[in-house]
Amino acid sequence: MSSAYQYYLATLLVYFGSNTIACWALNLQYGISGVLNFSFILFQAVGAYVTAIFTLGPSTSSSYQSYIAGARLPFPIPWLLAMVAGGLLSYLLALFVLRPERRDFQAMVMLVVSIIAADVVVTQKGLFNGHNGLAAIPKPFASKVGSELIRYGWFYVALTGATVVLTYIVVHRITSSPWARQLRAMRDNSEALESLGVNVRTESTKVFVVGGALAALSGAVLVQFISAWSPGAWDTAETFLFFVAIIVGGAGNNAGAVLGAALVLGVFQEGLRYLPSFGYTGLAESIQFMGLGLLILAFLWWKPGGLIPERRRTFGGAPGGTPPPSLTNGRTRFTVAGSLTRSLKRN
Amino acid sequence: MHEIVLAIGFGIVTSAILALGAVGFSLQFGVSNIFNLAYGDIMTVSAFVAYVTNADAGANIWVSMAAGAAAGSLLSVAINRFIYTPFIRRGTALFTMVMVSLAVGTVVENAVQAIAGDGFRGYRLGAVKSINLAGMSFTSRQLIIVGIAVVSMVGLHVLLRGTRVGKAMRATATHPELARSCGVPTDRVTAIAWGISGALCGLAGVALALNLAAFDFTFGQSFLLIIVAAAVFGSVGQPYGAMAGAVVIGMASEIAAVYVPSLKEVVAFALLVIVLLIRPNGLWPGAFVQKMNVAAR
Repeated sequence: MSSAYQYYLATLLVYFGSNTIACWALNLQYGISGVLNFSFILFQAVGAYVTAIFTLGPSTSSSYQSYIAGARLPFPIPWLLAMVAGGLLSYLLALFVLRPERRDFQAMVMLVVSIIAADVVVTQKGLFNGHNGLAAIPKPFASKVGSELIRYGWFYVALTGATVVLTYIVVHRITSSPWARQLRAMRDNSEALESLGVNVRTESTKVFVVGGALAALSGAVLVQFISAWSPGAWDTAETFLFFVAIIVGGAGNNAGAVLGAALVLGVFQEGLRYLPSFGYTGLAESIQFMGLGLLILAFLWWKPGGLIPERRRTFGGAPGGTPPPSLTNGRTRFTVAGSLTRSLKRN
Repeated sequence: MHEIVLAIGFGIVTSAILALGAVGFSLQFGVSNIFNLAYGDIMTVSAFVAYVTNADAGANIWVSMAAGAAAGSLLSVAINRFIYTPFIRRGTALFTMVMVSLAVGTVVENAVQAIAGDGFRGYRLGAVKSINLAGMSFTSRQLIIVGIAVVSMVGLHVLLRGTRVGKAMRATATHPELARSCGVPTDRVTAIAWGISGALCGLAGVALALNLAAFDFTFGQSFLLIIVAAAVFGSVGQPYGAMAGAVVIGMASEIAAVYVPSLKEVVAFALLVIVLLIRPNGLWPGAFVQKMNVAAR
């Protein structure tokens, strides 16, 4: 394989890893909990910016870029700080964006937040160097691995892979936990859950924070590979792309999120690069986005569960014995909310 | 002091355009319970239809504005009839409908770009007269826009409060099943409501394009956010709340522009945050907000 193709492949894999983490994060929020995070890309951006300023070193007046709180910290710390920042920002936003009772209402507020945040970053140049963004962000272990492009590329693929595996362990533990059962019940029928004494807003806030931290991690992974980050990288349309990925892959399960990340963000977007260019500038792009819009409509109409639909969770019989007949009502299959009622009654 | 009086003048114009947009948006939500994110893109279509009739066919700008309003009205009715209603009938959750409307908006926006192409354009207009009123400066066109907004608002008020159709609309918004069982043809009433709100959307689109002097295929979508802010401010689904929201947000952002020009939209947004902290469902949460995510499934 020629070296150019090797580097291209490594780049694709790093993007795929970062997108996978992001899709898991959004899946936790949208697919599992029904929290429509329309400001999702903002958290990825925060992760990227925080990683950048904590690897670039202090901002000096002679430098061509200005930013706040610069420092030069060793490898894992900037990523961890990015996650903390993502979680913290999520918490602060959750204080008001999750206040409206309706979820579509919340989504609107998040959309407003996302646009305004981009506005603030562009106009306040001291924050993250405004419209031009940050560049020349150092790469981790560059001195040890060497600056040879291909070699470093594959090293970074390995680093990304390790991060993805670690993230998967965390995400898998969350989605198979009793808490996730609560979150699914919240998505399917939040009133029923509330009537069982669960505070829906507290649970939404928790999942918002966890998802925000993971989204920030995906940004951190990406930014140290591509070495630059500017407001152009986190347009609101990007949030839309992540939603398309989740819906096409299959909302509510982690495998679907990976498939969506590969198909929509990889094949669909990357594949268009190989189409012959035609028409005026922007025509191909507008047709691409029209295709994405139609794709999402088609999936929501014909295949609302996505390519890998969420496993239908049934709870036939409580652990350690058959449930009392009064609760089964002649059926052996239970919905999430039903099983929750039972488990709460048992405790 | 002089700057503030001038800013109030700009604020009146902005509020008027915002009111047209926010009231239409709110009305759609009230009647159908859908957050229509394609709204901004329908504004764009209206502005381009007006452009075609004005710059290409040579019609007077106000005739073009009527054409834009008609286009917005038709497109809104069609989108509701052929896309949203089937999805709702199928039992799509309301929060998934947000994704549906976003997808529709993306298709519409990029269809406009594919047909009309990139780049900014402006209407073909005659010379403009500047009018000074109590220290504020308006162009004659801006005054006509304000007039159109006021007439539309009064007209909508008369329609909602004084006519049978308006009563049927309010009934449909409050409790569709009950309205249907009382003999209200809710489908037709919903279509009329979408027609009216689409016309308001079209008027807002052309008025905004006229006021901005230059526009491209994304301008409606970018203005949608401030429309949503105004509508959420006054509790979505409440046309009167939307009017109040439009005035507050329009005025605040223009007056803020005097002091911190770069942050005029941030100020509008900060107001929204404060309102949400005090009243989570907006200023006047009515019957609409009580209809929760599951209720309409």
